[in-house]
Parts: sequence; C-alpha cells; structure tokens
Amino acid sequence: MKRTPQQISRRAALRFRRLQRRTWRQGRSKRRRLRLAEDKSALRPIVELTACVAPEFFAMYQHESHKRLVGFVRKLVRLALIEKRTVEIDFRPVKKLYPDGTLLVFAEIKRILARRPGCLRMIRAATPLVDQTLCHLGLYKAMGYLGEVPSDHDDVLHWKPLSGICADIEQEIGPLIENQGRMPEKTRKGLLRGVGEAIVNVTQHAYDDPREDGTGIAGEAGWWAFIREESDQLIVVSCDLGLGVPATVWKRRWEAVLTFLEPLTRAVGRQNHQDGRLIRAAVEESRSRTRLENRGNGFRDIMDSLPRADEGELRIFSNRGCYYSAVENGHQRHDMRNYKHSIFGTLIAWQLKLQKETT
Amino acid sequence: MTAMTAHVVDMGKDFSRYPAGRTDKDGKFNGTAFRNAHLIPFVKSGKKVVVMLDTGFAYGSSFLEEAFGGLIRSGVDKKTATSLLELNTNDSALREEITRYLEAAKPVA
Repeated sequence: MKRTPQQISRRAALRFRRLQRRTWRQGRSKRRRLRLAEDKSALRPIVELTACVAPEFFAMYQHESHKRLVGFVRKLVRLALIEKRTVEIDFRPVKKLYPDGTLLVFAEIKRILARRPGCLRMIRAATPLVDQTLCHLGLYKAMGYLGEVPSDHDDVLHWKPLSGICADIEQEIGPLIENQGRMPEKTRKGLLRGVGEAIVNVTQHAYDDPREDGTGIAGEAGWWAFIREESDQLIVVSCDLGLGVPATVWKRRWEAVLTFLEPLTRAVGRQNHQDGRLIRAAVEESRSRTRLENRGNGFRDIMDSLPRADEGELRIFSNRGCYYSAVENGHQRHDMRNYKHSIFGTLIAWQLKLQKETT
Repeated sequence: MTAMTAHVVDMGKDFSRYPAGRTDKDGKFNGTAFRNAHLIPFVKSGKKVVVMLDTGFAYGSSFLEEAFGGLIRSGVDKKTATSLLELNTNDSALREEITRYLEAAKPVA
C-alpha cells in the first residue's frame, strides 16, 4: 500500500523527534559527567605549595648555623607574610634541635599562623627525636597535622613551651623555676629575677614601633619561652619578635653616626654594623632609650642571674648581634659576636648547671 | 603601739609571690599597682607601713624601683617615706636595693 505524503511526513517527524531525544539524552549525560567533574575539582581546592627547606641544625651561636637558620626563617616570613603564599616546610633534613634556634623557629611559626591561619603545611622530620620533639611542642598540630608522634623519651618530654602577652610570671614561669629542686635558692631567685626582667623589657620596649622585617605589620605583642630540664643543666630561653636591643638602646653620637652610615657601607660590600657592641652597651652600662635615671636596670638583673650560679652560660641574641657571658669555677668571661642576618627581635638563653639527682 | 597603728603588708599573701613589672601593661602584679594599693594611701595619711618581703619569691628591679622609687615621684618626700616605711626581710641586699631606689628617685616637678 502506497503511503500518503501526510503519513510520510508524520513518520519522518517521529523519527526526527526520536533522534532529537537521543541526542539530547546523550548530551545530558555528557553535561552531567562534566558537571560531576567540576564538582569534584571544586571539592579539591588547588593549592600551590611553595617549598621551604629547614636547615640541619636549629642552632644560633656558630656563624654558619646562625646564617643557615636565620636565612631559613627570613625566607619563611617572606613567602608567608610578604608574598602571601602557602608554604610547605620540609623538616626532613633537620638532625638536631637546640633550644635557642628551636625557639626562634617556634615563635616565627606562631606569629605567621596568627596572621595567616592555615598558610603553613609541613613534611615531618626524618630524625625520630626531632620528629617527636616538634610534635610535642605542638608545631605539627599548628600546621594541620592531626596525627600523633608518641614519645616517652626525656629529651622530648622535658621541653616545656610557654608564651604570653604581659609579664605575668605568676602563672607558670614563677612556680616552675621556684620548684626546681636541683638548684640552690639563690640561683633560682636570680634566674627568676632575670627571666622576669627579660619579659618586662618585652612589654615595656620591644613593640614600641613596627618590626623592621619588611612585613609592615604594626601593633604586635608577645613573648615565647622554653624551659628544658636536662640531667645536668636547666635551660631557659625567652624571645620576642620586636625591635631588638640595638634599635632601642640609647646611642652615643659616634655610634649613631656609624648606624646612620651602615646602609652605605653595606652597599659597598662591607659589614660593619654595631649590634654586638650595642647589646654590650645595654648590658654593661645599663643604657636605655628613655635615658631616664630610674630605667635601664633590666639587663643588669639579667646579667646578675649568672654570677649567682656556680656554673652556667648566658647568651643574648638581638638583631644581628650576640653578647655571651659564662661562669665557671667562679671566673666570668664575656664575648660578643656580629652576624650577617638579623633575627629581628631578642632571644635570651640561660644554661645553668643542676645539682646531681639524689636517688 | 606601732603594731596597733601600722598597716602590715604581707607580699606573698596580700599581693603576689611573684611580683613583676612597672605598669598594668606588664601584668596584674606590677609596681604601680602595689604602690597605689598598699603604700600611697597609708603613707600619705601618715600611717606606718610594714612590708613583709620574704613571702615574695623574687623581685625584679623594675618592680622595686616603680613601687618604692615611684613613691617619691608621686609626691611623698624622702624623709617621710624612709620614716614611715619598714622593710621586713632577712635579705640585706634586697633592703639595700630598695633604700637605693628611695634615695635615687626624684620628685616630679
């Protein structure tokens, strides 16, 4: 039977509609697939991580270790706070932690995370003791690592981190030092007097002006400290990330001229900054920026804490300088150092001998 | 007679075992707070003040200078301060240090 033209066009229209529906269906599944893929990528944000490799030793006194550690810290601050990047700190190469260098890294990481939460990630240290200590100090947790690194090692558990805004030593530092049973009372009193004055110096002077580290952040405050008891010595380290002693000490005219000319001498490739000398001036001559007669005694208290001990060392790092004092068998000796890089702050480390444990 | 009229301050019990700093910026137990609460009201009214220092564990120079030197800066004359203040301590170096701050402080014009 021959089909009429109307029938033909109806069948063609039906076929066309079927084809159209199939194409649309195929398109819909493709669109759905695309949408799903988009959703997945939305769930997994693309974060570009910038690597920052930690040095082998977190130590500050030797020139080489100071250069490497402070170089690492400055790079970290630049990447995280100036260039606003997300940084992955690679702790794998770290072999040994010394209290002074570790406190500087600890304080800088805490400061960065207070300004830009979540901007730091980490790769765990390869050395077990370092790995356990960094976790014990809470650095891994602060950088988003939720696992535990258990340890029952004394070298790890004896690190006690402290921090604060004001000099309220009543809360933790006071009782911790007073109850240190393996130290004579006069040494404990001298140490607490020194540590207390170091913290008062922070609240009184350290943050008067913005820190000169290029971040341009104003209105900062705070101090950080570690107390660590070892088998034969007690180590107390305190630090601030403020202006530093060389910037806050009152300078004699010739010292002011040298400080003024320092950028010029640096431009011609010579390092002749006066930081070590200025720390010594603050310590030995009780010089204060206020030039008030009743001020500037804080460093004297810090220094007096050492002769009260039978044996011990005191190191004051500030900006690019360091003042060192040691007591051994009643003899006291001093030294000062100048470094290439600035820590942009002040770090004071006491290392005092403890009496032997009685069993 | 003195015991009847004197204001006795036990540092550890009435203030803090770990006093530190000069002003409120430094924390709660600072030299200005101690001076204003336990020294000025009594000394200015001519009352003797006995400060029991041995119940405090350690004193920083900023606390001592602000608490005792600050007494002179806030208008109490040196003679009145030294006659009305009684420092009760077995630590002679601590007593000497406070006396030094009282003598060195200058009244604010």
